[in-house]
Amino acid sequence: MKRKQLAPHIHADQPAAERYIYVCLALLPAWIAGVFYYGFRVLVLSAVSILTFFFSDYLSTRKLYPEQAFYVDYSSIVSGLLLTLLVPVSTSVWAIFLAALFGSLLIKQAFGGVGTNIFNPALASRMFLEFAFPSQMTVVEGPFDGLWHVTSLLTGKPAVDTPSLPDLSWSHILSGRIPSMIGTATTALILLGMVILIERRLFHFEASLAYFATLIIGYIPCYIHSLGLRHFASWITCGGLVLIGVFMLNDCTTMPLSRKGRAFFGCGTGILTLLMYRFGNSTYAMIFPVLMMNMTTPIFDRYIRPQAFSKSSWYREVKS
Amino acid sequence: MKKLSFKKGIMPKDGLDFVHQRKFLREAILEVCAPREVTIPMKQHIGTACDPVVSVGDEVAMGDLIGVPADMFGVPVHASISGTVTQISTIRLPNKVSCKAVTIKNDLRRRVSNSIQPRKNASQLSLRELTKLLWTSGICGMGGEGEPTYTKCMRAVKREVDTLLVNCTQSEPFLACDLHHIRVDANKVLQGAMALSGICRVKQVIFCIEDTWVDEIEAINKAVEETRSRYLDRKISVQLFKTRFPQGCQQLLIKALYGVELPLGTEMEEKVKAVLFNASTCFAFSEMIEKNQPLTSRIVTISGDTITGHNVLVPIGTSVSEILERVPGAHTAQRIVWGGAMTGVAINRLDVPIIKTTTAVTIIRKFEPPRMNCIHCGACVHACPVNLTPNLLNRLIELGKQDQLPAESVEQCIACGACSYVCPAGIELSTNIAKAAYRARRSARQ
Repeated sequence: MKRKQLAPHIHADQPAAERYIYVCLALLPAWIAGVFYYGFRVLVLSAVSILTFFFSDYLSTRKLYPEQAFYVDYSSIVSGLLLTLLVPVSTSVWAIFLAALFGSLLIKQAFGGVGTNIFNPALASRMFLEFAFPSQMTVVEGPFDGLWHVTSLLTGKPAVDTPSLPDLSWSHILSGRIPSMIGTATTALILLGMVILIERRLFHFEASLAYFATLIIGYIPCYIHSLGLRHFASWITCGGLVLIGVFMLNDCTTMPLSRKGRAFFGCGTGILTLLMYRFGNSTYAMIFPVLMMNMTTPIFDRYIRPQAFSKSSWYREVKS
Repeated sequence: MKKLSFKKGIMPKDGLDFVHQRKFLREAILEVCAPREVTIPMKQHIGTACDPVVSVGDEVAMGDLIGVPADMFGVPVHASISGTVTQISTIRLPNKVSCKAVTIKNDLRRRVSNSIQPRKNASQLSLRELTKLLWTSGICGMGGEGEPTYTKCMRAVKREVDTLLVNCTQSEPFLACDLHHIRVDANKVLQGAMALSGICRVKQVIFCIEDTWVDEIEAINKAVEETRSRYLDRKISVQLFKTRFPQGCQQLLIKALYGVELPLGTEMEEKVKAVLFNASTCFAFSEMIEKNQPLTSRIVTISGDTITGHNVLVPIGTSVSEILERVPGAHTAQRIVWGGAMTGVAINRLDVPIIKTTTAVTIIRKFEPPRMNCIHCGACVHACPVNLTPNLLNRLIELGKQDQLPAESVEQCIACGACSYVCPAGIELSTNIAKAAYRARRSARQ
């Protein structure tokens, strides 16, 4: 279809595909660290996750929405990469394949494809894994535990016991060398990804700032008995909260539009995270707050939005 | 001095390769265009069209009256070159105005009408004479709106306005025609502004200029210092604004200055007791005062993404093709825009004339961004200077829910194009919303 020549005739030089590519790039440092710590299995898992997401999105868009000229937007690659970072290395290939299919078909395409999904596809897939394969979702291996153990790829590794929040040394916290999901513990590298996003003007501060501020303030009453900077750092690192705060709260599709709405969104996510951490399970505290707040996005969009010109409450007459 | 601005808006830095284009603003020399023939439309402003008073075969000189307005809401039209009237036809301008047009073939003798000669008592003109000059000069707002300046002044007098604003902020990011006047002829701009302030009977004159134009600010400050002693009854000042698109828009200028959000359709003269004129308009009026020269030519900025831009002085009615003849590489352009890059109209036929309100000709060669679904990124919401929610409005328009649009105050859209500019999905938000806004305003008026 030939497009009409309509104003404006110039456009900002950052198409959506490029945005997604830069998010991928920002995720890469954490992913490389994951490969370094957990070995060959990460490569296989990410390949399965990314390819499943990508082809599932591609084929279903062709089938479901043929009228949209299909255009590879790389958002599926972002989802696949994020899903890999969020699972423990002991996950089996089948589990991650099913999870990616679930995220792509039921979360993304069923709601109308890219841009219209209610939930973050990667997080929803992770939620699926949490319920469908709970035994594989508990961290049983630390870094360098078995770089070439490939047998567990097909079967997964059942958990022995649930770990509690350990008291870690600073070197462990900073290097991320603790038993965790593949990409959630390397805080420094996730923050490097954030710097990449900021440099490309893709980082939306409001939600993340509100999230971390809420966590810092809420940490004090929640852990009044074991307050301390090191304890806080190990808490936030083990929980994977930095990855959530930087990347999940930067997924603009599932967030409110206005800056104020985003701040409230981040704040609500932080409160839910604290509640779940205090009274529930640490993995749930990582995944569910964001998904629950994603559901409220339309409400934020409806009620918290910029006041149209000349309708503002502060409209005042000067020189009356 | 405190720099004023509004919230949101955009800084168009990466849209076109205009980085090295800032240089052309420093050029003092204008290219003067001598067209082979001109087509002068009889309606170049908002208001009533003129009736042509010449017939085919007449010889006209530059500055001769060729069209007289039917009533008070028109402006007279003058011949912009000397030559022979070859045709009187009906044409349709890109801004959807259909009117009669007089075609004059240039005889290249540059004959000037007898009435154009330097005025001796330029500084002692009475208010009545100035008003009469303004009426005969054929000046209308030269920033893009095209409201007859005479009508505007009369309305200002009626509303007892006390402030006159001179808009030196360019309404589009890559224009330089007003700035050229300020840098080269700041004194003349000031003279025109002071004459207009006399007609409007105001006590205060404020020059609004954006902070990046250092040379221009210096020039206008110097001119203000020189003039201040001659007009002791009026307060003259220069107000700086942050560079931000679309600062030149009337509503946003008022918001930045007074903190008042004017709904579209209300008269700023009545609400804030201020009247706004363009710098080019002031310059044109000073030409009228000094030389009795009516508005027959204007400065047009030629810019684009791969050509080096410059300002050209063109007679009114010159066709775009004749201007572009001397621009290297113009024939390979993807689209040629009659107006600025943000709000101009793309034209297919190049015989469109330059009229009094045309500020620029823009040559675009860049490809469009690929079109995809809205990714709900909120860039348009963060860019809209009038605080609309463009993606929601566009969705409503796509779904055909016209009845819900007024609840979202669609009629406030100023069609600046900022939402389309920032959209990473390449959705034409601005076009759809501006159309809906136009319809909403029209139905509200009825």
